[in-house]
Amino acid sequence: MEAGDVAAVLARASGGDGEAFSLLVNSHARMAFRLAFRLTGDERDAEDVVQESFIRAYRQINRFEARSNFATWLHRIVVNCAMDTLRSRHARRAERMGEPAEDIPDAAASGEPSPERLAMSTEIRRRVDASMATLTPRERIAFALRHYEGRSIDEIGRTLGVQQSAAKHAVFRAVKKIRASLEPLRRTT
Amino acid sequence: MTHCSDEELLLEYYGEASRQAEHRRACAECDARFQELTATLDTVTRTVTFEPPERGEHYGLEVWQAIRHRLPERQRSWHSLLTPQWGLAAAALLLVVGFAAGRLWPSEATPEPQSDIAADVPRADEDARRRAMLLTVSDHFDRSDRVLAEIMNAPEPDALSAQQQWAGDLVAASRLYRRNAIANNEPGVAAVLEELERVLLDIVHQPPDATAGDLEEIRHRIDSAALLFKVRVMSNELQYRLEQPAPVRPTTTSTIG
Repeated sequence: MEAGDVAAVLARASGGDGEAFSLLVNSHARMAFRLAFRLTGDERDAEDVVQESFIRAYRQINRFEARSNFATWLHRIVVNCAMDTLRSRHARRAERMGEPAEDIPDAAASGEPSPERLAMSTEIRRRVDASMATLTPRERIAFALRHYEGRSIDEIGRTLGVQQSAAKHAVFRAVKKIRASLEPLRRTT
Repeated sequence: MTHCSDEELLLEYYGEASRQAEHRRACAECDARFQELTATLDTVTRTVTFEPPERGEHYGLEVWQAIRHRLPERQRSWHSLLTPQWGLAAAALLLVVGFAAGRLWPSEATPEPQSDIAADVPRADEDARRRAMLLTVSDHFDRSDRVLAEIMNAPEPDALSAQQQWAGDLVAASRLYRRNAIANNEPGVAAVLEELERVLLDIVHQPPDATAGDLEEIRHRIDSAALLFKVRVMSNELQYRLEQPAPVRPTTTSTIG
């Protein structure tokens, strides 16, 4: 959908036209899913985040300023929804502390690498996943936006509604925890 | 000499402005720390990709179907009523109101009121007629979906001529169903049929030796009107309504919305 079309569709959607809103959902859903997946690292959570984000967008569409970019506005909503999902996941995990961790799927098994390399990749992934699980929701989101989405610290701060320094420290703390989890591997190589 | 902090090195890794970048390049110790950080984070990128699973072309439709019944009711502003679709809805409504007024206006010889059972019989007939109409239109949308999808995915312009005959059959049917939909107070269905009809006509009127440019233009028309999406939503909507055990009520607004 082109910019002019988006503006016209938005004007109709903010007037309560559900059909117009369905067009926005159709043209932005895949982008929202990609972002939600990178932020949550979980397919089912990402699906929930996408749906919740569009429902929030519909509720708040009157607050959307016409001169802004809809994709940027939706991006912020997806980040906030992902943050809420991670917070409740964090809380659930805190409640069942002591339960064994779930098996980590072996995503590194593609491409037929050597057994040693495969084992190392699996171990790295296991350690990074484990360290990601220890990040606070803000650290995880800030790290995912910086490392996987290529957003600047300034953008991350604006998206999360925090000072630039707070965004920067969230990324630093995340990287520090991930590096610490990989430190034993570095010593063995 | 002040060495780079971990924060400075990380900022540089991410391409953000770092005041110490020059020092890092000149200092072997800081450079070694930077290389180590780079190796670690590059390994994370390679190993933990967070590459999202692919979502199909129907994903937007799936999301819409999942949320549409959860959206809060909103008051439509008056200017949003000034769309062709709502004009159609208003026209249909006026027709129905006029028709009802003609039937209900008390005449000099007012007939005896009918019993409830007697009134139920025509109501059941009307429901059966509406179901039959919706079933036919739903099938029509499915066939149109196939033609449009063939054109959207065709590798060569030949595909356009291959679909022209199908499109011609569908145009004639579309006109009939649209009139029927208006008469049955289904403005949402009628509006999608009207859009579909216009694009189908364009397909029918393409020259037999259509070029890649012609094919692209038709695709652009289908895409810019989100026609395939609307046809699928409407088809799903009709199927949903037909699955409901209660009598099939007419929708007074676009069923996509």
